[in-house]
Formats: sequence, C-alpha cells, structure tokens
Amino acid sequence: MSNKIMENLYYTKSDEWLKIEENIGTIGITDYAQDQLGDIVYLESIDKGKSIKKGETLTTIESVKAVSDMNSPVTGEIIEVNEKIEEDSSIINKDPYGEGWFAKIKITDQEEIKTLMNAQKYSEYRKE
Amino acid sequence: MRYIPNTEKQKKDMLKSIGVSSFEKLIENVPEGVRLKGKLNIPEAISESELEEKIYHIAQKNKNFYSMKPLIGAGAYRHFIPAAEKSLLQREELWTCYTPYQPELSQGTLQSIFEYQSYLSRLTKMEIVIPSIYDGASATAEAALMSLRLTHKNKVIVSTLLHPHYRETVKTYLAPHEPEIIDLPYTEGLTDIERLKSLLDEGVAAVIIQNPNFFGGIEKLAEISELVHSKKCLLICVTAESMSLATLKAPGDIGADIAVGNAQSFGMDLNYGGPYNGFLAAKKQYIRQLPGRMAGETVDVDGKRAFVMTMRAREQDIRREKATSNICTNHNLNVTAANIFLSLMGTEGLYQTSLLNIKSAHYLENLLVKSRKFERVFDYPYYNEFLLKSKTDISILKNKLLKNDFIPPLEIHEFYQTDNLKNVLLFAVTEVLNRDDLDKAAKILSE
Repeated sequence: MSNKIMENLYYTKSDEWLKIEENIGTIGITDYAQDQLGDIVYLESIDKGKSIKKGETLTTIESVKAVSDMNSPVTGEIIEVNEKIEEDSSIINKDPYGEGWFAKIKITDQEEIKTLMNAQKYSEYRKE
Repeated sequence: MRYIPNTEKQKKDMLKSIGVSSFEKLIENVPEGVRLKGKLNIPEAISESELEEKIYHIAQKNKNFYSMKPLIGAGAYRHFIPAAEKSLLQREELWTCYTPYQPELSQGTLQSIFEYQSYLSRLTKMEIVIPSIYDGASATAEAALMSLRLTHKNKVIVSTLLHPHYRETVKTYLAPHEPEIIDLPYTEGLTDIERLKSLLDEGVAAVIIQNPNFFGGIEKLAEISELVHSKKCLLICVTAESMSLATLKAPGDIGADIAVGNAQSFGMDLNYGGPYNGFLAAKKQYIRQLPGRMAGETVDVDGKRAFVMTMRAREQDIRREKATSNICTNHNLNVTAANIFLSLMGTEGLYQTSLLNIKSAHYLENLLVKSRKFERVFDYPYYNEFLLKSKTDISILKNKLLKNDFIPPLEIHEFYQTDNLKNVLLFAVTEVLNRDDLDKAAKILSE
C-alpha cells in the first residue's frame, strides 16, 4: 500500500491536501487516496472562476473501481485549474503531490486552515 | 380468484369460539335499515361451460384492434409486425426486463443490448447509444437532465411541437432542479426559427426539437442546429415516430448532440400505451454523463468475442443520490423485439416501408383536400401525419368512421386550444392502410 505524506501541507479527513502560498491554496488528493482509488480514468471538468465552500464537491474522480467526490478543503474562488489532469488523469496516480494538483483557490477565510490536519496528524489519522 | 365459502358447521364453530350465539347477534351493531334482507338480487349460479359461452358472446361485442384500421398516431403508431418476431418473442429465455447484477453471466442479454445499440447508432447516425429507456417521453427528460449536467446551465428551450406528454414529462423530471423552461412557439406548422433566434443566448443549456413534430411536420433541423450551436447550446432531437429515421435526415447528420425517441414503431404493439421502448443516443464526448450504462464488445481470457456491461460507475446502485440518473433497468424484451424486427426488415425493407408511409399519407391528404370537405391549416412538409380542418362537425365524422371500422384521427384542439385549430384533425397514415382502405376512408369522410 502506498501512503506517502508530505511535510508543510495541510490535510483533510477525506484525503485532500492543501498547500498555502500567502492567500492562494493549491489543492489535490493524497497518495493514500490515489492508491485507494486505483487507476484514475476520468475527471469531471472544474469550473474556473467559481466560488466554492469548504467541504463542497470540487469535482468527481472516476477510477476503474468507482466514482468519488473530491471536496474543497477551504472556502474561496477557483482561480486556476490544472487542465493537464483533465486530459490525462493518470498523472494524478503518478504524482499526486506535484503534477497531479487539481486547482488553485483564492482563500477567503484563513481561519478555516486551523481546522485542517498537519502532516503528523494526518499520518496518525491514516495509521488508525 | 378462488372463492371458498364457509360451511354451516364452520360458521357455528367460529361463533362458538368467540362466544356469540348467532350471526344476527354478531352484526347487531349494524343498523337494521342497511342490512341485507333475503338474498342478493343476482342471477342464480351457472356452470363453468355456460359461463364461458356467455362471456364469449359479450366479448364479441368488443371492437378488435386488428379488425379496425387506425387513422390516429400522435405518438403511438401501428405498423406491420412480422409473424416470426411474435413467435420468437415467445421464447422464455428472452423474458427478462432486467439488466442482471452479474451481467457478464448473461452473455445473451448483453449481446441483445449490444445489437440494439448498433442498430440505433446506424439509424440515428450517433456515436453512442445506451440500452433502452422506458419510452420516448422519459428518454427526452433524461436527455434534458443530461444537458443540465453537461453545461452547468439551468435553462432549456422546448418546442411547443414536442409531444404534449413528453413536455409534461420533461417538466416533471426537471422540477427539482428549478430550471427555466421556455416554450418555443410554432408558425405554419413548424417550430418558429425567428423566435428561437431571439430566445437563444449563452445561458441556455439545450434546445429540444421533435422531428417529425407533433403535427407531423418535418422541421428545418439543419438550420436550427447551426443556430443552436452558434450560441454554444446543445441540440436535443426527439423522434416520436422512429419509422421516419429510415427516410428523413438522421439526427447525427445534422449535428444533434443528443438524439432520443420512441422505438415503438420497430415491432412493438400498441399495448394500451406501453410498455414501449425509448432510445437515447449521443456524441461520444458525452459518454460520462449518459444515464444508465452500455453493453460493450471485448474478448475473454481465451481471446473469444464476449460482451461486458460498462460505463456503470455512475449508476444509482453505486453512486446512490449522486448517480447520473435513476435508470437502473430497461425494456429488454422490447429491445429484443426491435432487434428481431429490424433484422427481418433489413435496410431496404425499412426504407421502403418508411417511404410508403410518406406516400400513403400524402395520397389520403390529397384526396381529402380535393373533396373540398377539408382544407389545409398550414402549408408545411410532413411525414406520415398531417392536420386538416373539417368543414363538417368532426363529432359526426368520428361516428361515421367508427361505424365503418376506422379508428378516428385525433382532435388536435384537445392539446392546442387556439381558434385556428378548432375542428381540426391530426391524421396518421402508416403502411397498414392499403390503397383500398385509403379510398374507403376518403369516401366516408367526404360524403
């Protein structure tokens, strides 16, 4: 089982990660999540410019096994979308923390970040 | 239902067991005035053989559908059905309406679905087709839902010449999404393209057009398609009379994004309005937003041709409330009926039959107009249905037709309450009416 966890990222219980650069958050799914899903074959297109609330569905991911929702870890406006993964979803399996990022969000409520887990906590959470 | 009366002894035992002295005592709370006194006022019992004979003679008074010639269509069309089809459909192994939960175990069912998809793909000239939906109305509604999912928009333009029942179904299915549904009016028996121009904007998810439309009119689909796509909206083409697919330009040829319709004309009886068979076809790029799933061809471990059920990850049994639709089953016996029908008719047979529909309809229309008892309401091209205004009161005409074993045409005013459509009939003429039938109908109607 693959379960690589990166330092300096924030994590959700539903296995999304968030990288903070000032008020811009980059989001993706964790190594654990991609491993559990198996080969990802399709991703629903993400609407650039759309406002999204924490916990709302950003997109749905279809793998050979199932279709799952990917939720936004924070509230904000989607300012950039990774079009590469829409064309070739297998990038998410190969590099979930790098080339496989989903979208960039302009965060409107910094307080929400405090509710997320850090690498250590997420590591403990996934060990349970 | 079996009726087993209680014996006197059983009645006594029951009364004794609950401690009541007599039956009258048991029902003493029922007011005297409403109790039955004496026996029921019905005839004495007769034997089974006597009963059978009596019922038979009463049943003879029913008008048999096949002893009457239909002049009505409006969404349900009587066409010729080969005897071989009916005979083959009696095979028990075909009697399932369900898509099995371990579908690959039922290779025959999957192949039947696969063949159906292939037939409908050829007829509609669309890239992908799913197994059947219940009927044309629900297929249209599923297509409308699909367009909302694909465009993330919430406005749909619906031609008023889409079958009125289909329009109702679309409204019902879409209601929870609180969409804006705009009625697109008609002019001269066809969808009003000028009005469409003014209604279209980039906030519209899809435009729904039926061809031939409810009045039988052949729509200018190529022009509509170009217009709709210039505003980046989707075009949903609806075919209620699928026999027309063999002669008219296919939805795929004019660039329809989704093509739906009713395949009832392909070997299905009228059955009091159902079960029929709805089809849904689309461009390949929309495959992830299809309702339901598909049968696909592959090879098994030994390299032999095999069929699988695929694209079902978004179905209700897997995705629950987030599923793309509630479609989990299909009308598979009718799928098989359509397969047998289409294979027996063949490309040429279907084309000739469809052509005969056009010719026969135009033959009757000409006779009726020439009789001067009818006049045209619109000057429009039509397939096998047309509107004519009668100079005689249509209730008189309907009675005359019934007496002569014709099923009368539809009174269009029931569905379109405008003054110009008063005393107007919607005639349908299929290949089941031969030249003698048409001459006879024209004679009755113009006397």
